[in-house]
Amino acid sequence: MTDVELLEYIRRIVRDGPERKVRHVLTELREILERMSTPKEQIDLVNMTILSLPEAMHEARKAEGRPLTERDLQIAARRAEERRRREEEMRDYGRC
Amino acid sequence: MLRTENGAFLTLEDTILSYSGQASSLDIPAVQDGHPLSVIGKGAFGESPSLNWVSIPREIRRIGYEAFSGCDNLETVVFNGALPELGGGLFSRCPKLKSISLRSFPVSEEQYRQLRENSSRMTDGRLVPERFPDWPGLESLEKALDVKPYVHVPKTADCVFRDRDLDRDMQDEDQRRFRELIRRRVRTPCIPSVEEVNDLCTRRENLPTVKPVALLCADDRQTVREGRTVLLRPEILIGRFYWQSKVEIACDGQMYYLYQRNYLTAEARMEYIRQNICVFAGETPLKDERRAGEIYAKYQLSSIL
Repeated sequence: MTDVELLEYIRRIVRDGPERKVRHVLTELREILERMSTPKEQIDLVNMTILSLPEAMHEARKAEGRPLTERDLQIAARRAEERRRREEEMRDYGRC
Repeated sequence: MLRTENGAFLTLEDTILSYSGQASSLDIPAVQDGHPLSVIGKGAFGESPSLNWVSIPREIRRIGYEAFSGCDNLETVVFNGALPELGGGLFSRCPKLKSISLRSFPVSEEQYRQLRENSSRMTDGRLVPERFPDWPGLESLEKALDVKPYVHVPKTADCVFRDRDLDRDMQDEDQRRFRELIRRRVRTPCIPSVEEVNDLCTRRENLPTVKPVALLCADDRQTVREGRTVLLRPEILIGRFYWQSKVEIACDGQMYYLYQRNYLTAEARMEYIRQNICVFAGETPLKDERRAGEIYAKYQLSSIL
């Protein structure tokens, strides 16, 4: 499977559907790719998408009309990282 | 190239990854663009609010975790073949689910055992699923299954008591196991094996038509004498197998429980089947009153047992 094909898969999966379902489907996709002995980079891409799911879904919707790119997913991952950091800060803020 | 994609289905290799259609009744395909499908992936049909009726093809051998979870309007699921390997939370958050039907044999004993282990028996004999607490509408498992593991027998059933024949047919070890089963009152469903059903299918035309000993009415619930064991002739209804064989009169729930026939050796089982098969044309008399009347008349049964 080429990178372009994988990205199209990811776009189709995350484009519509609630986060819970998308997470399950991406997990299934990852397991199939592992069984197919797909290159690690592609499995990492799916993993990255799972870890930054709300943002990845947002990017996929923004990319409507053009192919989803790896860069879109990297942007999503960066934003997800920022979100997690903010959430961590908020938790710390509440601690005595 | 392993990727296939068609309309609402997204598939990869032999797996249905995701469904995004709006159909209310859905026959899940077994083949997509020439590729056979045998797995329904995790969450594949989840969160599909329009789904009301789903038919799962016999080729499917595994259904992933929460595959139909969150289908708000899903009422009926039909398995067209043997029960596949089922993932957890399969029908969780399906509040309207009422019926799960197994359309055809074979359901392996192991699969049915798994299904039963996820259920608990109520005092009235109903099986209630435990694993999926979100099934308030599912009244009982056996009611939902076309293959009824249990039947109810009235007090006055004109059954032939054939304990002696049973003893003759069974080998010592089988007899010991069967008596142990009765002693413990272990209730197991009556599910023919794959080979047995296939064999019956191929020989169906040659089966002798004999008068049935008794027809069982699924709605009869009367007290029965306890501690007795009766053998009823098995019936095979063309188009749908309906199996009635070993029946124990249970003392606690006003029920008769069917036993698996694996207490007999394979040869003894087939011999028993050859001698006792009844063939009825048409639908099951238990569900069609008019048809039932014809059958009762044909076999000159004095009453509906």
